[in-house]
Amino acid sequence: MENNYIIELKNVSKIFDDDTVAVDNFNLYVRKGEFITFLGPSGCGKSTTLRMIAGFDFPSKGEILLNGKDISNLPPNKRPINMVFQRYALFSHLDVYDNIAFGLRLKKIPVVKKDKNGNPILKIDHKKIWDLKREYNLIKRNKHLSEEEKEPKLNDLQSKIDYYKTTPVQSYSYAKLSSKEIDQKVARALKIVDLEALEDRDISTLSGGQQQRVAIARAIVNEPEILLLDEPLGALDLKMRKDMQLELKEMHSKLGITFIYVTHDQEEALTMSDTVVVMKDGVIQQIGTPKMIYDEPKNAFVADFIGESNIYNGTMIGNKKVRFLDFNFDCLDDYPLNEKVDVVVRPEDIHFVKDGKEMIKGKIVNQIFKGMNYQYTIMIGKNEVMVKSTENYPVGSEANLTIEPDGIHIMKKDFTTNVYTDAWINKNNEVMIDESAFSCDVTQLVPGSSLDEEGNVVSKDGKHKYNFNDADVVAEIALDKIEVIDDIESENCEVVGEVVDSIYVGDHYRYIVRTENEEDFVFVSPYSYNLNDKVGIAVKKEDIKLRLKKEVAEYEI
Amino acid sequence: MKFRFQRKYLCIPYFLFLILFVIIPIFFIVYYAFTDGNGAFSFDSLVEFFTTTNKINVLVQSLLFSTLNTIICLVIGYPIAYILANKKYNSNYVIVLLFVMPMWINFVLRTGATRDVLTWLGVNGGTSPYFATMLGLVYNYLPFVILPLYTTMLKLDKSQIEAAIDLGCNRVQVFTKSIIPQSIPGVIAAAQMVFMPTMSSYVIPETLSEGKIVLFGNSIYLGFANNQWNSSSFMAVIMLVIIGISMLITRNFTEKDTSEEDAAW
Repeated sequence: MENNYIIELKNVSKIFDDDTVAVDNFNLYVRKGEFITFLGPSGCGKSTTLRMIAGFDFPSKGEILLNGKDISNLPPNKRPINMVFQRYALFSHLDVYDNIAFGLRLKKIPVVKKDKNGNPILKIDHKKIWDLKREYNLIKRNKHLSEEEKEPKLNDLQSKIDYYKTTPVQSYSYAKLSSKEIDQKVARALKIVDLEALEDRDISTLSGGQQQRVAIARAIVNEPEILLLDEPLGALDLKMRKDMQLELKEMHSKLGITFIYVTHDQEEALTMSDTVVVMKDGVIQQIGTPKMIYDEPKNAFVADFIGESNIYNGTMIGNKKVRFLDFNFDCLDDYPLNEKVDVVVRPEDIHFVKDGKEMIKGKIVNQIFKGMNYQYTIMIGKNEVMVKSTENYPVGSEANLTIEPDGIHIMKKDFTTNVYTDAWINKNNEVMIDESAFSCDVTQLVPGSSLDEEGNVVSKDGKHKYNFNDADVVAEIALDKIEVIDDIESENCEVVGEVVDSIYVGDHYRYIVRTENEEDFVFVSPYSYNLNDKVGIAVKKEDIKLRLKKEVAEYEI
Repeated sequence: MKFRFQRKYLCIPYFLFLILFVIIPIFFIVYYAFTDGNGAFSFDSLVEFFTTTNKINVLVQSLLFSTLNTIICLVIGYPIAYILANKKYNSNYVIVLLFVMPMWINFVLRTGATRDVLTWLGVNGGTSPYFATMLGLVYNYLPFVILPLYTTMLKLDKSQIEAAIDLGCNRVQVFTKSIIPQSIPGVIAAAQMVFMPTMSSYVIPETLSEGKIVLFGNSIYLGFANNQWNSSSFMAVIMLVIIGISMLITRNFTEKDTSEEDAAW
């Protein structure tokens, strides 16, 4: 199969020993020479992914292919990949030259062993067998793979081991690089990172920026096929960081090697990369060019994370027409009529116009000078709008605003209702979601029915009786029907959970509350909760919509 | 004039202590070392020391014991400290305590107990004085090696180790090229804790070899016990000189180390 992918990650997952899923079903391919960035908040799995490519962590599931060959279980020292570490990780006991030459001195160049007649000597390759056995054991011990998944891999390895045990193969002797070659390579690397005069200096006498350059030189001097950079500019000050960004970009085009870069700084990602991979909770949210990601964010998380944005709830009211902020806007995206959508508008896409020409009117409540322009907060009804403009308007004055159709980005809503597909009904006619009982109205399962004294549902005409004990149902709760109770000791709470996510959506927040049993409740609220807050949840009886999984007749008694 | 308390007065007790128990005794040692029995200045003790084969032999033997003890303690203590500092093998402090606990017991008692155990095992001063003494020395000084090494190992920079692997080191090379260089300050500290005290150790060889092995410390003690104040003082001066030399040698390493730490902050 001929393609120019240098590295491919196929269904890669990483599950740590404590069962936390750091990376979940990650699929990605990287072209040769590409500058790709993993972008996401801390804890999103971007560093873990990078460490799996480097070989410090092995994937629990899936494969990593380098030039089409599976390297998933290869240790870091056997991969043609080098890394620039977060805090440089320079060897403090060596000077600049020795740091850079470190990898070169370890390098062994294989030379085919030949006998007197010039024929290659064939030998049993014990080292290869040893490596294969190591890999065999690694897969065998992997508790995240099922036996069926393991078997073909293990069989494949076993047949390879058997082959190498019986078949002598060409043997190699290894030569080291001469000190002259090392000298030349180090000098070239120092030139690339602009540190020519400093080769004899001690690491401790270098500034942060210089240490950074040494770290890069130490990695690129080995001529890796892929250079991994784990937030390499995080420790530098702002101005230095900006300079280094440009320099790294320049180095990338000069060297022509593939760069995989990890950062949580969205601006850095947009400035430097050819391709950005936005991640959250170990899952890829969007892959695309910086421009694509900025202009066409796939969901509210990406829009919120990349650049500043206004996010609103909107409704499609016609062909390429969307209503939000109490106004009907033309837009470019087509969604079904009445679909609830997230609308994202970048602050720079909202324009001030003369009185009378406006689409929407608001009141300026705040103005911040940002150097290049002013950032305004404008209230339209109870919605906040963030606008950027170079013109100066006083706080308190009226604002007349328009938004062009190409400035309105519409995304399918992540959630419109909470759907629980594995709910069931207990003997008290309560619905069990996440092992907590919610009182509900089971009579909705049979239209027009009522409950008798024994808790059975009696149909309208009294002819049929149903007992829904243990019935599997799908329960649905609308986002705005979930009541949040601050006092988690209160007996009104039906379930208690932790706020794990919040997004500001114009005039309210959308939260995700996760219970101990990992069930999520999404709700909207005008009030602000912090991440990790513990809250109680209650739902009114009539707000839980139930749907039987099986036919009603099965429960007839 | 009214007395006003200043912070610098706080160091007065320390200075008094220093003068009384360090400066004056050293002055006495030097005084006795370079005088004769009548208190007149003389090099008699010096000449006597360097012309008496017996005394030179004791010095050489002590140096050998010290060196060997340091090496054995490091060889045993280094891997133990490495394992103790590794969370994978040791997730709590209890095992560290087990290794360090002997330090809290008076070492005269401990040495007595060691002798009894060795006698019970059939190894005693009578039959194998060298082995018994060496064993006692290693047993006594091992905690002093483990503790500084353990603290250094806890501070090992994991990312430097990963960088070494990333640049092509196999397991052995990681150890020789990253872990050992990083732990050098701990090794130096540990060696210092063992080398000089072994030179002057008195109870351990005395007890375990049943007086058959005389180290420098024993020799000094015997001299004072026999009222040879001048020659014994001179031996103490030799001891001071050796301490000075060993500190000069190790300072080169530790100085470099601290300057690096300063720069990191």
